[in-house]
Amino acid sequence: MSESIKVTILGSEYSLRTNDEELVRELAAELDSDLKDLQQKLPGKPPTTLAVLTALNTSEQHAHSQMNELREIERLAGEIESLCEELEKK
Amino acid sequence: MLDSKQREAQLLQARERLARAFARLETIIGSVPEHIRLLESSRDKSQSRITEIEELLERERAITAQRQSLSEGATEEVNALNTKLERVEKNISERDKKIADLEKNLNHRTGELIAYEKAHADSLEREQKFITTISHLEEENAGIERKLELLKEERENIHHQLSQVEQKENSYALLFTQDERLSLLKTVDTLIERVDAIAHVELTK
Repeated sequence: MSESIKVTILGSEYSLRTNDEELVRELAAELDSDLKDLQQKLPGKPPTTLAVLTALNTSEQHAHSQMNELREIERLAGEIESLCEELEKK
Repeated sequence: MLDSKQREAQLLQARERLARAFARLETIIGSVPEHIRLLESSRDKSQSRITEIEELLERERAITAQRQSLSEGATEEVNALNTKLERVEKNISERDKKIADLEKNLNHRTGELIAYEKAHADSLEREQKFITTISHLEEENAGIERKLELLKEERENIHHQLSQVEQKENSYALLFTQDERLSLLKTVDTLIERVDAIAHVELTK
């Protein structure tokens, strides 16, 4: 059941529809914190630049997470396959 | 460097692989109860077998105890036999010693017997020689007896001749001188002495 919520990111308010309000609020607060950290590091930069750099960082983290997830899934699949082979032998 | 779609595609393949692995594992897990049932059955059989083995072990223990008892009894008998054997060995040792003494005595007696046999053989040889000598002497004696007979006959003849001579002397006494008669008498006496001496010598042999 989607519902409409309002979040504030870098001083701007955004109306959003979501099925998981808590998660979206956590992600919005995290994004706001990242943008503010970057704003302190790069004072005077326009919000668009800060948003692009933050999006780039987030994309990098997402890519790393995907790679980690891929390695973990392959490791887990390998272990399960080995376990199946062992069980089938018995 | 992979882009986002390629990463997503790889992730999708990996998730599908993981899903297949899980499905395979679930299939295996689904068959686990059957395996467990078989294992339980096998366990029951093993338990039954263990019970049988334990019963056999109990019997074997009883048999072993019986054997142990018999072995102990046999050990006592063996000890008694060993004692008897030691006595017998002592007797055998004494007998061996006696046998050795008897053998020594026997050897001594055998030596004596051989000496006696040799002496007997010598005696037989001497006896044979004596028999030969006696035979020879008997032959000689027979010859001497024949000679003696001949001498007796000769003496008889001489006596006869002497009688004839005496008769002739009486008849021819006057034909001879006194010296001639004495000479004839000496001759006759000499002949008689010789005959007696020969007869005496032959008889003493």
